[in-house]
Amino acid sequence: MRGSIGGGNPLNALEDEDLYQEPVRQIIKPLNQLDLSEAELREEHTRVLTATDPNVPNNVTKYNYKDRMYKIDPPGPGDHLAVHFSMDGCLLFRELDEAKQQLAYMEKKREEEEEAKRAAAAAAAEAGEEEPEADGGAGGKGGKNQFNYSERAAQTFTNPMRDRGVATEPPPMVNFSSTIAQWEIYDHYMQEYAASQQEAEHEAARRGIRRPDGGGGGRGRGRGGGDDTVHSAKMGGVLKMLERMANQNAEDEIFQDFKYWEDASDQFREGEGSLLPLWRFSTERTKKKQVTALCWNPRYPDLFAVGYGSYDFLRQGSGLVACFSLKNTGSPEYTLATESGVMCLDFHPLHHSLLAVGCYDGTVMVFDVRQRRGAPIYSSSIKTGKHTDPVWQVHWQCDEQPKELNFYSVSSDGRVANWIMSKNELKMEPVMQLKLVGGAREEPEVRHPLNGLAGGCCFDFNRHAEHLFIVGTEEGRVHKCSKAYSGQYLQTYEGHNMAVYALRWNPFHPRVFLSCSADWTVKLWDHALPQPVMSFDLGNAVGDVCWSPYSATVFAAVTSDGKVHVFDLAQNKHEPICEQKVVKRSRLTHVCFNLRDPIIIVGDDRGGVNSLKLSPNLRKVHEPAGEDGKLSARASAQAQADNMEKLLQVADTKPTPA
Amino acid sequence: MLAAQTPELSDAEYRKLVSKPVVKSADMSPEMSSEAIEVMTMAVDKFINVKNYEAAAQLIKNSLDKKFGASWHCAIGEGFGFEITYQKRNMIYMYYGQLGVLAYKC
Repeated sequence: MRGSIGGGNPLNALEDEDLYQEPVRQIIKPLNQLDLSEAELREEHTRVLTATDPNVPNNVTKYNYKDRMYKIDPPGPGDHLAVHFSMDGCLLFRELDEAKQQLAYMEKKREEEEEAKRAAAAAAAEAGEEEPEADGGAGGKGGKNQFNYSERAAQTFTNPMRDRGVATEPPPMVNFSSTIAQWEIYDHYMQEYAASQQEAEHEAARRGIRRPDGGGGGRGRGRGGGDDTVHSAKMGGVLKMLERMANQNAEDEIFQDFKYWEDASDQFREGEGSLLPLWRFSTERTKKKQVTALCWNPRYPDLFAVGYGSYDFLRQGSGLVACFSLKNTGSPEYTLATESGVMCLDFHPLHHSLLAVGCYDGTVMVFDVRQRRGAPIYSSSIKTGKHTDPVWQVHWQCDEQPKELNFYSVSSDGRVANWIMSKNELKMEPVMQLKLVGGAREEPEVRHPLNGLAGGCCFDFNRHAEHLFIVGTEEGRVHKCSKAYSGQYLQTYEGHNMAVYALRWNPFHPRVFLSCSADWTVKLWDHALPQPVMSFDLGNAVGDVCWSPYSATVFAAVTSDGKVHVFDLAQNKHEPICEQKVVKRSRLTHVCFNLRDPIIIVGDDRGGVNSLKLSPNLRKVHEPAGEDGKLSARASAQAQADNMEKLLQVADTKPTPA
Repeated sequence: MLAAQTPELSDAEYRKLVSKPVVKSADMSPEMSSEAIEVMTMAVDKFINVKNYEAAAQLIKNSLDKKFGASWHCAIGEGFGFEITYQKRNMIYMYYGQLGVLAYKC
């Protein structure tokens, strides 16, 4: 009733205390709900509850057959009854018959049980047993009923059993066995005693040694050990790298020039070139020495060896070999000191760490540059034979592989020797004795009173005919010799008036060689002709001459006035295409072309080595016209030889001044 | 060879030499072994006069048990052979005077 009233009135619903559940309530009004003002809502309507059902119609009219008319049938008291809930119970009233019957039945049943019990008790008494009665009495008093009793049991679930074990790792055990006997104990004690005795002796001895140097030696040694990292090989390597980096940074401009600079003016002048000085290699130790030999390493194109000594008979001193690298221009990579001045050196073309060195005192040595101890691995001695005069040139042979390594040397004692590196010593094999040739044509009647030997100054081996080599002597003659005949010369070339300083076979053409001499000239020879093919007067003693490795017609010569002359016979047969003074107030002694880069190194008599870059005009490679593209190495070599051949023919048509 | 090396020693010298223990073999840390040697020499010294090696061994065993934990075994004798299995790092075998003393844990 109340709910129906409240449901119609939203304000009532708001105030309702019983609706506690929802804090936010949305009121949905029926569409047909009246809108009432506050006052109307506040107004109280009193309603009285009565037992009459307002829904029951009170105007039911029924036809009355008795009165034969329609009569209003007012609702009776039963009409106002509304049954909301009804349930049938199982209880009975005692007064009802049904109840009475049930009670009687139960009474009867109880009596029957009593009867049966009594009968059983009587039977038990008959059997003469006392206890059952007592028991029965006890049962009768409400305990367990002996007959109508069922025992009930419940079994709980039994958990399955599980085995579980833990084992720790046992402590490690060791087996040990021994025996003890009196003699063993004795021996052991004696051994201990002897050891302690020895220890004491050692201690005494050590103390005895240490005493003389007052303990300072020990401390010094200790300090040396502590500073080991500073002097270790690893540190050395690091420092070397650092030095190279520092040098490279400091000389960046020179490195740029070395790599990229090309003389632009070369395009505008034909047949002329220039040399760009790059680094100057020198060390404090070689200030007073003269550069007597230069040699590039055949394997590492940036590495070259320089021999230091003296050409002056009166000012001889110790010698030095320094290996410089273009990667570290500040100081040499290795230095090898020799007793006597170094006169010549040569790297082995295949075993690139082997360096043959000839000295002023006539010894020849072989160094392994990799071993930095500074001691030669082979050295000639008086016992094994040696030259008695300065060795002017050494040259490795690499013709027959299986043979032991060997090299040739020439000395002013008039001998050419072959040195064989046997297992433990350097074996000397004399190859040639340079007999004096009494200039047959010039003075046939004069016999040399002294049957001496000619002093060999230089030699070179022909690349194309292995047995063929030429030797230049102090007298100015050049002899063509063969390894096969040691007795005589194959030919003698006359043309130089003073000592021949250098002889070089052309690297491409098999017949052509160059000679340079103290008589200011450089001469070009064809070994088939007794006369020089060409002769160049350079106005000063020519210290060295060297063919370029890239062109058959280019060579460089250095003179004692400090000039470098570069010739390209294909461009100019009479004048050098470059003549440049590279050192002041000193003589140039040697020159050598790099095998890869367009640079030459020249050595002077003040212990310095200058590197020079050749301008593009100086390194023109004259390939025959009409052939396009790149030539193979062999074809290119052939082309170079052809160039030379052409040159020879031209020169031959013009007879040389006899 | 040994005889050739060892010099002849007088009786007194030898006695002096054997008055200190020589460790023949030890498998333990240095601190532990020095402590064990001390215990063993002390025990042997105590009973050497009455030649009661058994008591000495008992004493050594008990003191080592107390010091390093159970369970130690000790053998003392002038001459015997043995083959034992011991817990690693817990064995010492030394000569002391005329006796060989072995102690190990297992």
